[in-house]
Amino acid sequence: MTAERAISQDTEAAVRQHQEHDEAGNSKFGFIVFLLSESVIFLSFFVGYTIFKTTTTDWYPEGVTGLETREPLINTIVLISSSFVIYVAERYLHDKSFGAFGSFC
Amino acid sequence: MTNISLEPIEIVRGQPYPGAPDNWKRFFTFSTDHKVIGIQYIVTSFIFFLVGGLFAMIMRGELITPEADLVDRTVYNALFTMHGSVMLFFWTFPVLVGLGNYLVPLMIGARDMAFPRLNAVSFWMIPIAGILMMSSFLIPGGPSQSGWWAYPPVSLQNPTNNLINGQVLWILSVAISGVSSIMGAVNFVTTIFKMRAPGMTWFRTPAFVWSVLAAQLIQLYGLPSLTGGAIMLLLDLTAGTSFFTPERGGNPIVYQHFFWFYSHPAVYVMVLPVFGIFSEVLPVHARKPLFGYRVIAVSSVIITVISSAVWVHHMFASATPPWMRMFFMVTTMLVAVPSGIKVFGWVATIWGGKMRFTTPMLFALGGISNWVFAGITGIFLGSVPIDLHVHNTYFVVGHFHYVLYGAIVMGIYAGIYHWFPKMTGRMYYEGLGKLHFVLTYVGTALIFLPMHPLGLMGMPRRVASYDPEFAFWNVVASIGGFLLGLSTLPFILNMVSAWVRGEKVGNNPWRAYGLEWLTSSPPSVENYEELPLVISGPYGYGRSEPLVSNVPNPDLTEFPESLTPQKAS
Amino acid sequence: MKKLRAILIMSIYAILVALASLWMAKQSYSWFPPEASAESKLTDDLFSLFTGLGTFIYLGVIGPFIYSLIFHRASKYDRSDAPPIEGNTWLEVIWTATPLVLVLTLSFVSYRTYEKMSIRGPMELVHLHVPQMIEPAYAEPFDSTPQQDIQKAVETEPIEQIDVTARQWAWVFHYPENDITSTELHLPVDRRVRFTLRSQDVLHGFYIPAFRVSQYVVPNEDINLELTPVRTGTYRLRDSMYSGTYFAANQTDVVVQSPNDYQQWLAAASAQTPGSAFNQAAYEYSQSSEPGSGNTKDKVAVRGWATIPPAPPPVVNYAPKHEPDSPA
Repeated sequence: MTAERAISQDTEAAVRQHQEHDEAGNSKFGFIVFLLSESVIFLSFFVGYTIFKTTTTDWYPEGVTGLETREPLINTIVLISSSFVIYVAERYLHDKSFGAFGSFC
Repeated sequence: MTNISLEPIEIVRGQPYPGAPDNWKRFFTFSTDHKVIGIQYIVTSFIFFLVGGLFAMIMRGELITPEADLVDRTVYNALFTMHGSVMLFFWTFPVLVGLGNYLVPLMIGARDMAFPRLNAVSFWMIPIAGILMMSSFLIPGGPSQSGWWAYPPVSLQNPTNNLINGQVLWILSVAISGVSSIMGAVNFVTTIFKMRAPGMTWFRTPAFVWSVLAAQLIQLYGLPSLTGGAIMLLLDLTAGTSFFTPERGGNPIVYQHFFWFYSHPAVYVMVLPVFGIFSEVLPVHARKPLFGYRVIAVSSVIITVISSAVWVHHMFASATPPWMRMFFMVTTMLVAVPSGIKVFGWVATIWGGKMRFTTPMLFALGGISNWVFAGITGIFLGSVPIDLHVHNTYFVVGHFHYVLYGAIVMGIYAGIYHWFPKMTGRMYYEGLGKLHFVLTYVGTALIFLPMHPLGLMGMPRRVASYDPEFAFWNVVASIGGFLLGLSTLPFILNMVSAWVRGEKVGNNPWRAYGLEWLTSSPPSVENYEELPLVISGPYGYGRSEPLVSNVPNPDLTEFPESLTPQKAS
Repeated sequence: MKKLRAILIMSIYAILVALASLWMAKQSYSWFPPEASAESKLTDDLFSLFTGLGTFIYLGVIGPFIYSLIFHRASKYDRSDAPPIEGNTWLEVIWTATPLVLVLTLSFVSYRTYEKMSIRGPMELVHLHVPQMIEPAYAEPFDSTPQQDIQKAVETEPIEQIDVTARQWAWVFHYPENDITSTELHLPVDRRVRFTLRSQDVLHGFYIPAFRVSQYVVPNEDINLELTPVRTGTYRLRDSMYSGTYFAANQTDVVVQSPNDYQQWLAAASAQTPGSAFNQAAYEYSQSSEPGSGNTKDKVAVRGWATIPPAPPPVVNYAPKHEPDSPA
């Protein structure tokens, strides 16, 4: 019994570590789960769009003649690049170098 | 929602947050304690249950005569739409999330859910979404009248031409409840994967936790499909796109695929935790381990997998090609296998046991007997030629109400009664509980059995008026409906009075085996003074093995000999 | 001795359950409307099989369940636990394998029935104008009576074509050969009938309970459906897919007639000039207290909300004289 007790105390110490100081690990796990789930929404959009586009001859909404690509492209680039900038800024914040962080404001 | 990972989750001690009220007022605050949130869920959703039940009783009042003479046809259509939506999105889902919220951390020996604040946010979205849906009764044009499926093109017809109409509010409300469910699912899955107590391996995890995990995994892969479909529907309704609009080349059948890809598995989201409740309640009140625990646990996950490929059985009549009909017929029938494993396991559990017919046990047994019946009519519906006759008739209505009321609601009642002493520290009144059970069981049979012959005779669902040949069974069903309405009264009386001044019972009045019974009743904010170290599997009835190696709670006077954890040294 | 008794009791129970299942299977035929089409017999046979097996399983599970409830209760002061039996691999294998075999069998039988009914889905029937595409479906050897009925119907006379149009909330039947329209569906007995289902607005459900078949009517799609009426009489056609406010009133009669009567009806109908038929939805809508709203002030206790106006009553050659729910 005492051996078991010792083993379980070790386990407990390990798991306590795991549970109470591994909030970041939980967040990471949860976030991955969330992203996987969220990607299904976009999957359903793609499926809806593909079916719609392949089965209808004229699939534009009323009064729309063609797809606009230029402005959405610019917006997409801005959107994607912004996430990199925010990431870098966050790293500076994390490292407590507020000067460098401030340069992003 | 994207800042989940950025939000620092502070480790709470003592109280959920400084200055949190310690009395009943805590149920009206933004508490992050999973037990407070669990009860918030249960009580809020029960209020919606009463609202949805009221709608159902008005409908049964309308159907007591063949003509549409009690309410206008538009009102009737709005009522069945709202009845279905409220009962699913604001009663069954949230109440099971509530029970899961309360029980899962206790059962796995965790101090709280993985993301306590997220948990609180997902709860508070439920009343908001519910009130939003109810508010559609007040706007011109009334609430959505397209059924809880919201099939286009009917759902895209907007008689008032207002931008804010019942259908838009319905979609927004369902979307909010969907976001809440996804956040809840992320929380549950993370909690169950990452926060089990030391020593609690997968096959030492209670069957209820397995079933909650299986159900929440379905939410994760299924719900986004409904959300996607609903967003496209909203765009069709407001922004002039035509994904599902036939006049402009859209295909309304595609919406049905999006809808049922989630909404059939959603049935398993609701029924799996109830299976878990059955698996927890039976061993306690039969004093016998759960028969075939591992198989029952794994069968939940098998249901999760199979349920991802059965949705077209709702669409056998909707221009579906024959190969799809045949494929989905086979997959649908396969669900009977894991469900059967569970039923046989439960029967074997009580066989040779030492049963006591307490209220939770009665509800669990009643729920199982109803589930056997509903499962068999489910196989009928899976067969394409039979389904083509009874599709969209009262046979289907009878079948799924037997699942939803006969099995699920009775299972929920079983769970509430069983864990009521744990949640409040007090015992409910057994007499009122038995009265509640008898009224519920008789009412269920009276209202939902007659729907089967009605469907076979060819009465379509959702009709406000019907041919006189159907009158007899409809009158019987209406009487059953009012009886069910009545049956909630002893329950409410029981819960309120028992919580206020019921007999105080100890931490483990059932002499049950399980982590949640090792702590105080009601459990303190952090559940355990010391985290339990699990050294054996669940359901150790009849074996005098301790469940945990340390003593988490000094108050063990209530424990029978066989359960008392052996004190080391 | 004890074991022998248990086996005896179990065998007697199994025999009783089997008898009860047979009885239920026989009874199940009486739960349906009359079998008015050859296909309905196939469905009813299948349903009877399901009912028999379903009863057997139900009683097989519920019997031991109730036995246990009666005999396996704790005595009042017995606080001990039951024997810790945690499982039995053989039992578990048996009760996994049995349902598996059973549902696969039932799927197979359902599939055979489906094939015999020769219900072909819309995908196969979209371009049915090519005759040779139909042949293989009938080439199979027919064995049962309903199939012989179908076979005979197909061989003796050409398939009768009827166009069905559903709208909010009326059914219109067009007989292309004689170019007549009707709001009541008349069919010749013992002939294969092919419906081409079209919808002008939303989804509808073409459902004749006496024929045991329902099929959605989808806008923008021509869906073909074949049936073989084998019993004269008047039946009911219902909208089985919720289609909006007056959905419940979207019903009409189906009259299956002998070939002679049918021809006479066709001739009489073609002699009539088209007129506006009675329509329940349009009638109720016109009774509304305010234009544009669905309030029928004199009839109901609780008033309603605005509704989509019904399509104007169909203009047809033939409309039934005794109107269902005709205005007083």
